[in-house]
This record gives sequence, C-alpha cells and structure tokens, in this order.
Amino acid sequence: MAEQELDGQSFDLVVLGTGLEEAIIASEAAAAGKSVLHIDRNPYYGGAYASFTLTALIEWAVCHRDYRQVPVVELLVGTKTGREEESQQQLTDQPTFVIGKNSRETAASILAKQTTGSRVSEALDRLVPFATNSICIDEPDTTTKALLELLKNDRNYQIELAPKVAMCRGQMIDLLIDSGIGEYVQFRGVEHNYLVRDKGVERVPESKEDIFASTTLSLIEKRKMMRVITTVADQEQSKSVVGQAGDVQFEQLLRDRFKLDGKLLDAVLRCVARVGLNESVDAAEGCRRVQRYVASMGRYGRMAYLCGLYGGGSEIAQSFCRLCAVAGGTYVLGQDVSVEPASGSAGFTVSMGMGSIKASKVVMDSTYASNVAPVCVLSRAICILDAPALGEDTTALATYVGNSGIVSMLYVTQATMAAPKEKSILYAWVEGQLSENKELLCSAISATRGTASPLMTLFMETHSLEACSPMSDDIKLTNAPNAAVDLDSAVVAAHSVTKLILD
Amino acid sequence: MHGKRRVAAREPTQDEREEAKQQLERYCTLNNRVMELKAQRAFTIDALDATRHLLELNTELHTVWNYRRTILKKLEAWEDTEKRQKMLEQELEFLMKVIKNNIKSYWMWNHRMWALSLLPRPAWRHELGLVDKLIGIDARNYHAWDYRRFVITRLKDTEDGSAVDEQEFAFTTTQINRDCANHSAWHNRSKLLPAILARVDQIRREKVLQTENELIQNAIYTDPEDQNAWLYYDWLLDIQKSDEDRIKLLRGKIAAIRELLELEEDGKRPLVELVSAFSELGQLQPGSVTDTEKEECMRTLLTLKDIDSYHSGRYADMSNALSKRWNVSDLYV
Repeated sequence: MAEQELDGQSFDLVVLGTGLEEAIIASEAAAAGKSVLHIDRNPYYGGAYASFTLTALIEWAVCHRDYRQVPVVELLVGTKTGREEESQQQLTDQPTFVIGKNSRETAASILAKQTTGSRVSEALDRLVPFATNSICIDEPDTTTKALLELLKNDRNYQIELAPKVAMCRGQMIDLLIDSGIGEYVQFRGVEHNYLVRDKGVERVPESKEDIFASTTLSLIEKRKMMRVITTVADQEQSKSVVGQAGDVQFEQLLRDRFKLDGKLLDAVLRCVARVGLNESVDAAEGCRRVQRYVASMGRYGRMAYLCGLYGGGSEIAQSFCRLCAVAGGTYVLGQDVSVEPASGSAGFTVSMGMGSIKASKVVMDSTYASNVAPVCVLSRAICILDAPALGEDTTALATYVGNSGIVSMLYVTQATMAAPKEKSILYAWVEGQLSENKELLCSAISATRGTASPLMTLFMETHSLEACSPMSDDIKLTNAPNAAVDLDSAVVAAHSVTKLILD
Repeated sequence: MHGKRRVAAREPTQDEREEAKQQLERYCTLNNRVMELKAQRAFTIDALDATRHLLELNTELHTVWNYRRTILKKLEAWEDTEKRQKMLEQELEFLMKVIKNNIKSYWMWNHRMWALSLLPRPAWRHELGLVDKLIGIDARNYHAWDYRRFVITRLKDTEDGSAVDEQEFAFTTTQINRDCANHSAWHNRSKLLPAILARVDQIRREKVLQTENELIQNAIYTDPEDQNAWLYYDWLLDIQKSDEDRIKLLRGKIAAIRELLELEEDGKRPLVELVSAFSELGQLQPGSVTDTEKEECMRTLLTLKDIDSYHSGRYADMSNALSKRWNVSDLYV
C-alpha cells in the first residue's frame, strides 16, 4: 500500500513491534481473517529478538535501541599486543566504549548524516563519541586497529540480541511445522551441552553411549547417571519414585534417591532440567523437565535442541511476518508511531507520520507503551572470540555453575552462519543487574573460552517493561525475551494473547 | 534391520493387485526360461543375461546363482586373465546393485566371496570400505561382520598381519563405545584377542588384559543387565593360561560386583553372576570359598527368588547343587 492510502484506514488489529511474540500474533490474526497492520519503528525486523552484522549492531546500540529497555551498553575491545602476558586482558577492565542514553533527536541526527565513507568507518564514527579514553582515528591506536580488524569481516557476523534455541520436541518446532515455516527456515543441531565450572568444561553425558564412552566419569558416577536417565526419564517409573518421595524439591530428590552430588548433580539439575539458583522446582516438575529433554533427543538426531541459522529468533520472526503478509497483513517499517484511545468511540487511533489509522485492537511490544516501568532485569554479554573455543563448525549450549550464580551460555560459529570461519561467539546471560553480575558473566566466559581470546565483548542490561496502570482489554502488551534458553515460552505467551484477541 | 520399526501392512488397492499380478507373470515367465536354458545346458551370454534379470528380482534362488557361476566358468573369456578380471569386476558391480534389495541374502554374500576368491587382482581394502559402510548402517548385521572377517583374513595375505589385527581390534573398540550392547562387536573382539595376546610379552599381556577388564567393568556399570559384558567375562576366563590367572580374574570380578551391589543391591544379573563366580572359584581351588561367603551365596539365591520369580526354578536348582557341593543348608527347602 502506498503511504497516502493508509491514512484514515481501519484495521481489526494493529501490531506494534516485529519481535517474535508480535509476529506470531500478527500471523495468526491474519490467518483467522482479521485485517492486520504491522508496524515497527525500527528499519529492521525482529524487535528485541533482532540479529545484526557488526556494523548494524553498533548502529543499534547507538541509534535504535530503546533506552528504557536497554539503558546502557558497554563495549570492551580486546587488544592483542602480541606478547603473551599482556594480551591476557581482563574482561572486567574498563570498557572501551560506554553507550549511555542518547536522546532520540541525537540518534536521528546521527542516522540522517550522509556519510561518504564505508560501512566500517561509519560504524567507527558512531562509536567514537562514546569512548571512555581518547581514541584517535587519524592515527589509529591499538584499540582502533583491533576494532577495524574485527569490522573487516562485519558481514559474516549475525549477532542476536536475545539468543535462544528450540527444543526439538516443543511448541516452537511444532508451530514451525504447522505453519509451513519449518520448510524453509534452517537449523543446525546443538551438538553439545556443557557443564562449565571454574575447574573446567565438561560435556554432559546424555545417553547410554555418552556415559559408556566418557573418560571423566568414575564407574560409580556412570551407574548413578544411568539410573537417573532410565528412571527419571521414564514417565511410569518417575511417577512411582516421586510418589514415594512425597513433597520434596527436585534437587532433594536427586540427592537423596539417586545419591547425586557435585558435577553429576549440576549436570542433571542445571544443564538438563535447567533449574535456576533460587528457583523452586518440585520433584514432579523436575522429572517432567528431564522427560521433555529426553523426548527431544532423537527427533532430529542425538541433540535435544536446534539452533536457527542467520540468527534464529530474528529469522523466525521475519518468517511469521511473511506469513502474515501473505494472508493480507500490511507492513510498515521505520516509522515512529503512537497510540491513543479513539475519541468518542471504542478502539484506538494509531498515529504515524503518514497519517492516522483506526484500530479495534492493539498488540504492542512494551517499548511502544508510554506508561511502563522496568521489572525483571537480565544481564547479557556477547563475546566474540578469536578462535573456535568449543570446536569449529559446531553449536553448543553451556551452563556455568559458579559460587555466586548460574549463567546460561550459547556458543555459535560459522555452523549457524553466526560468525566467520576462524572465530566464534559466546553469549552469556543471567537474571539480575549488570552491576551485580558483571563479574559473574566474566567468570563464565573466562571459564569457557579456554585459550581463545576475546576480541570484543558487549555487555548490556535488558529490562522487561510492564504497564504501570491497568490497560484496556483491547490492548495487549507482549513480553521481552526472558532468561529461558528455549523459544517455547514465547510461543505459549503469543498463543494466549491470540486467543484473547480472536475471541 | 535392528532398531527400525516395521511398517504395518495394509490391504492392497485394485491397481496394486493388478500390478502385482503382472509382476508375478513376468517373474514366472523369466523363471521358466532360465530353468529351461539350464536344462538345455546353455552356457551362453544370453543365458547369463537371463540369470541376471531373474536374480535382480529374487536373490534367494541358489540354483540360479550356481548356474550363473557355471556359465561364467565355461565362457571363453574366462581363460584369459584380464578378461576374467573384468568379468568378475562386473559381477561385483552387479552384486552391489542387488545388495540394496536384500542385505541379508546368504547366497548373494556367498557369490561375492566366490567372485573375490577367483579375482586375479582382488581389492581387499576396497571391500573393507564397503563393509565399513554396511556396519555403519546396521551395526549388528552379522552378514557384514562375517564378511568382514573373511575380508580381513584375505587382507592379511598382502598386508602385515599384526597391523591389520590392531586396526580391527581398535574398530571393535569404536563399535562397542558406540553401543555397548552390540554383540557382534564384542564377538569379533573375542576372535581377535587371542591373536593379539599371542604376539605380546608377559608385561604387555597384563596390560592388555587389564584394558579388557576395564572395558567389561565400564559396560557392567553402564548397564548391569546387558548380557554382553558378562559373557565376555566368561570368555576372558577361558583364555587365561593358568588356574592362578583364572582365580585372580574371578576375585577381581567378585570385587567389582560387590562394589556395584553397594550402589544397587537388587541388580538381578550381578547377583546371579556373584554366585556363579563363587561357584567357579570353588571348583578351581577347593577350600578357597569361606563359610561366610558360602552362606552369602545361599542367601543371595533366596533373594533372587523374590526379585526374579520367573527364574525361581533355576535358582532353586543352583541352590540345590551348591548346597550339596559345599555342604551347607539349602535355604530353598
């Protein structure tokens, strides 16, 4: 539709933001015959799930990000001096760039600036104002050199803001199959699940084969692990075991009934059942989680998770948008938008530069709402490594179990087109504020990266925004990406909204 | 094939019935033709072609395989070494085509062995590659394993025997690591071990046997109810050179089972194996089993009756025999 045609139109549903939940809702509403207008203020799809090349990531940090959702971004550029002792740069060193709050006007003016240089120099220009110590572009110092070196391969990176994987037997995969999107979105198996502690990285043995062939488990540990796998993973047997145990937490069950402790306990509790440090999970729920994991293994191969190529969350969100468009949905990118209740009638008025639209119902990413406040907080780190730390051409999930917390990690390489050939990316995230968890994230990364060195590390704190006052029934807010490793919760949340909308 | 679910049969449609009927007619015609040619003792290229078409439809006609071999040997080209090489290579290609229909045809494997035995220049390494692939598809296909042993034997004609044995031994390790319940792999290992042991000195011998012991224990701890590791124990016992070694092995086995039972006191197989181990120990070295141990065995057999009622008759038998031999009371009575 041309710009002028939108003015004055009415739509059953207007969706603001093209994140994963919004995209699913939009496509399902369109499939149900509703007229859908889908708008994103950003010039790209994906919202909080978007993925970027390096230069685009910098652009996001400087120009596009919502400062209520991501208040601060810190960038640490690793420098290799060629001398062994010196290149052991600490991740907790002073960040090279701190990109704080930038007003929307300044951001807009940065975007509007016509640059004659390359993408790379443009990115560098954008970063320079945020440097914590003087960075000279004319006579590049080691930091700038390192950054330029990194940016050479800019297009080979697909860096996700909210990396997640899909459980092989789960709501996301089922939705992808049902919708037909599964026929063209590509995935690779997450080939390893690692338990990371300060002493080292160990593969979680998930099958009889793994256990037998393991060289790091003692015989007794092997037996214990097999018992857990055969009993907990079996619905019948676990029911009777849980019944006998009574009202206990899953951790207690593992300790008492299966005599697990140390790394075995961590492997089952944290890496498979994914129980958080302060999360209360009872025995029945714990067994269910293990069963879900084991049920996922074998569907597409030995692994329990799949990782999307080219930035999974973003690709999937775009695919749902495509599906929505095919069913008649209209798309607008790069337009600022505001929503007001319609005067004198039910519904809402949606205002953009190109005009006003009437909407019966509205679904929006919480960053489009005005009266919201931050609630849950996630601290994230994205670390680009100079070598494939956990293997070339592979993808892996890892869980760092430290003294002060548990960090989820995702390791990606060229296998999912996320990084160039000789590099890798380590994502790490944990619930809580960055100021309190930065050291934890750094420990997690250090314990995992082995001999690979960080070339660039980006730290950020993401906030979930919630409405301060009750909103009309016809407006629904979607969720920011949560701390879960898999995408299923996003699908469940999206479906519950769709149900309400289509009633 | 192991581990693959059978697809349920369903009623054929009218079209399918028609097609099946026509296929049957074609088959019968072809079959009759070949049999007639055979009766006429025709050993020509035409006859060879006819057998090829028939065997493509049905690999189980051993008469026709025989006939085909006779034809090949009576053709003029057979006398010339180069032409024979070509003919037999073509046979191998034909077999490769046919193997896809039925991996488990005895006659087809037999024909392959025949062809390779008569090939002037057989490519044994290539054959090994083929077997590798087959075992990759189904690790427990005994045809493939049997054929592998045949190929390995012939391979040793041209290559260093001990190197080949070591490679094969390592291959069984890989297969066992992949699936510790793979009986074919354990079995092949047991066939190779004597050759390996024959070539090493006493010190290395100890090391090799220690490794085997560890492999068994690994399997037992991973899956105590799987029979393969226990059978391998028995077999290791057999190849020991002296009773002294056997006693040592048995004592080791008993210690390992005891540790396992500490973790899991009701493992059926470990309990039975414990009693068997003591029983054997007693036979090898009279007086080596203490009274406490004998009583432990009798009680174990009683426990087994509760845990494994299906085999209570067997345990009753064992209890009876042991009580007589050891002069202890039979708790079953």
